[in-house]
Amino acid sequence: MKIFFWIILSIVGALAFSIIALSRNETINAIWFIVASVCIYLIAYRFYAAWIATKALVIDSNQHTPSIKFNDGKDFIPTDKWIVFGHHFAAIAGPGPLVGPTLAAQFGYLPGTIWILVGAVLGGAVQDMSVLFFSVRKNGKSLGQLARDELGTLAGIASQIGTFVIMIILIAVLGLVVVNAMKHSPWATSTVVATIPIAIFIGFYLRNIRPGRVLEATAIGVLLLLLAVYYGGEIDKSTSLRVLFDHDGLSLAFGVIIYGFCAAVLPVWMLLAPRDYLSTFVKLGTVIFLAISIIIIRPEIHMPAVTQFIDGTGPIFGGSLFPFVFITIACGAISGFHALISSGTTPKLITNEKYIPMIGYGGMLLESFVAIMAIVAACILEPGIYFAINSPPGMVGSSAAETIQTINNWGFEVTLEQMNQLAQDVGENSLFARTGGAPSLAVGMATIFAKAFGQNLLAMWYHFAIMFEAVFILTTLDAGTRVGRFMLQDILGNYYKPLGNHSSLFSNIITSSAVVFCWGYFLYIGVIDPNGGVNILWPLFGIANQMLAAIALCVVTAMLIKYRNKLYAMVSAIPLCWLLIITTVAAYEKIFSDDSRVGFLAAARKIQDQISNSTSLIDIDVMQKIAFNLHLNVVIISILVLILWIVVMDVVKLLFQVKVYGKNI
Amino acid sequence: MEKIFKKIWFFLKELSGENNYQKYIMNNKKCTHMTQKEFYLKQLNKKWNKINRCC
Repeated sequence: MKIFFWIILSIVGALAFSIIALSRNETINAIWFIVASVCIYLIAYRFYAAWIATKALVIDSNQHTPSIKFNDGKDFIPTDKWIVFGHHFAAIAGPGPLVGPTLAAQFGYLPGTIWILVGAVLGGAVQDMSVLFFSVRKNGKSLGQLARDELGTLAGIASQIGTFVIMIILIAVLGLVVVNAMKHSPWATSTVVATIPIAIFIGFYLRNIRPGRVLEATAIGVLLLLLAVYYGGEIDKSTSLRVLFDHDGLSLAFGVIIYGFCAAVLPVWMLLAPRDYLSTFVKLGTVIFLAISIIIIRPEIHMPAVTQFIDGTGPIFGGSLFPFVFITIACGAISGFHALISSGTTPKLITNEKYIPMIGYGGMLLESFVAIMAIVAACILEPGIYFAINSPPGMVGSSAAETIQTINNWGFEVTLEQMNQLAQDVGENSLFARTGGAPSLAVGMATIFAKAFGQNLLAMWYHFAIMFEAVFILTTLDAGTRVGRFMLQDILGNYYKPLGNHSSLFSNIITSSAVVFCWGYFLYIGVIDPNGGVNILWPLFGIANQMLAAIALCVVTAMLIKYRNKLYAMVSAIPLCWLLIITTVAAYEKIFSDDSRVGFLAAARKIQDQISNSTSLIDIDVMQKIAFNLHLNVVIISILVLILWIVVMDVVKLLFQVKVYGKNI
Repeated sequence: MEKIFKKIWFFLKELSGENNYQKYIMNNKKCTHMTQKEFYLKQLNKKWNKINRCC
C-alpha cells in the first residue's frame, strides 16, 4: 500500500513537472507549480533525506544531544521538535527567497523553478541537515569553530570574513529594496515609517505594562500595522500630509541609514525585539495566506518559460542564464547563511538526532516552497508589466513612453494606459522603474489576494504586501547591523580592549557607526546608480552567500571523509563542486566580462570614457563614485574567491591523506 | 477541534517564548529568582547577541 502511494505520488509529480517544463507559448496554471514542488519535496524527504541520515551521517537516536548533555536552562534547552522547527524556520526564512526568484523571473519561469527545486533538494537541504548534524555531534559548535577544528585556522577566518561581508552586502541590498519600494510613494513610506513607533510602543508594552506577554502584544501590534496600511491611504489622499512622505531615493536612503544606526545602538527591547515579534508572525501568516490563495484561485502564469534574456541582455541585471540564475536565487535553493543558523541556536535545542532530517532538511524544503510561491507571484503578471516595473531608467529610458516602446520592441505587450490604470488601482502615481523586486512582488501578491478575497481592495493588498516585505527586511537590517557591531567589537577588542566591551556606549557608537558606514556606502552607491543598483549589489550578495555555502559544504565534506567514508562524502561534494563552478565563473565574469553591464572593470572603463566626454560637474562626481565602487567590488570578489579556493585546497589535501580518524564523533 | 486550538495556542506560546518564565520558575523553586521583567530583558539580550535571523 505504501509503495503504491509513493508510485502514484511520483507519477503525479512527474506529470506536473512535465507540464511546467514542456509548455511553450501558452499560459499554464500555477497549481502545477504547487503540485510538482510538493511531490518532489515529499519524495526527496522520504527517500534522499532518509538515505543520507541513515547511510552517510549515520544518525543515532540513542546518542545524547547537547541540549540533553549540557541542559543549563540558558543556552542548552531541550525543546519540543515542532518548536525547534518553528524557531529554525523563522530564523532561516528572510526576504531572500522572495526577492531572488522575483528578479530571476527575467529569464522566464522555468530556469528559476528548476534551480529552486533541484538546488534545495540536492544542495541547500543537504547542507542545512549535515551542518546541523555535525554541530550536534560536536556539542553545538558554530560553523567557524567547525571550520577551524576540521580544516584549520584559515578556514575558520574565511568563514568569519565571509559572514561579515555577506552581512554588509545583504543589509545594503535589502536597504535598497526598501528604498525603491518607498520612492515617491507616500502611502508605502508612511506605512513603513509607522512600523517604527508601533514597534517602540510594543517594546514599552512588553517591558513596562505586561512583561513577557508576547502574543497579546503582537496581536495589538499586528492590528496597529493593519491600521497603518489603511491610514497610509488616507495620508496619500491628503495634499498637506502626502508631501511629508513623498521623497526621492537618496533622502530615503539617508533615512534608512540613520534608522539602522539608531536600531543598532538602542536597547534590543525597544525596537529590534518587538519588530521581530511582529515580523515573524506577519511573515508566517502572510506566507500561509499566500499559499491558500494560490490554491483557491489557481492563477495563470503569463511569463514565458524562457525569455530571450537568457543570453545576458536582461534589463533587471546583466549576465547570462549560466551562471547568474544560480547566483541570483541563493536563499530558496542553497544559502550559506543557513549554515550559521544550523550551527547556532538549533543544535542547542534539539532533543534527539532523529529530528535532524525534519528540522534541517524539512526546514529548507519549506523555505524553497516560499521561493516557489514568490516566482509564481512574479510570473502571474503580464511580462510587459513585470519588465516595466523592474527595469531601471538606464536600460529602458527615463520617460514612460520610451519605456513602453523599449519593452514592446522586446516582444512584450504593455501600454501606457495599462500601466497608468494599474498604478491607479494599487494607489500609486507610477509603477515605472520600481526596481529591486519588492514592488513587482507586491503587485503579484496583491493580484492573488484581491482575486481571492476582494478585487476592490487591490490598493490595500498592494500596500499590505509592501508593509509585509518592509517589516522583515528592516528586522534583518536591525539584527544584521547589531550582529555586525558585535563581530567588529570582538575583532577590534583584540587591539584596543575598551572597543571590545559590548556594553560600553563609546564602543557601541564607534562600532555601530563603522558597520552602518560600510553598508550605508553600498546603499548610497546603489541609489545613485542609474542602472538601479540591484544590478551590482544582488550578484555581489549572491556570490558572497554561495561562497559561504561552499565553505560550509567544504566542512561537511571534510568531516564525512574523516569520520565516515569518501563515497558518502559525495552527497556534499557534488553540490560543493557545482557551487565552486558557479561562484568562480560568476566572479570571473563580474570582474573580466567585456560587457559593461556584467563586468565591473568594463563598466569602470565605460564610466571613465563618459567622464572624459562629460561637461556636467554633478555627473562627473557621481560617475567617479560609481567607478571607485566598481573597483572596490573587484577587490571584494577577488578576496572572496581566493579564500574559497584556499579552503577547498584543504579539503583536497584531506582526500590524499592516509591518516585514519576514529569513526565515532 | 478544541484540542487542535489548544495545541496551536501552546505552539505559539512556546514559539514566542511566552512560556519560558514559567519554566524558569519551575526550575528555580528553591532559590530567589528574577522578576518577569528582568527575565524578559535578560532573554532578549541573550537572543540578540548572535546571528539568529537570516537572509
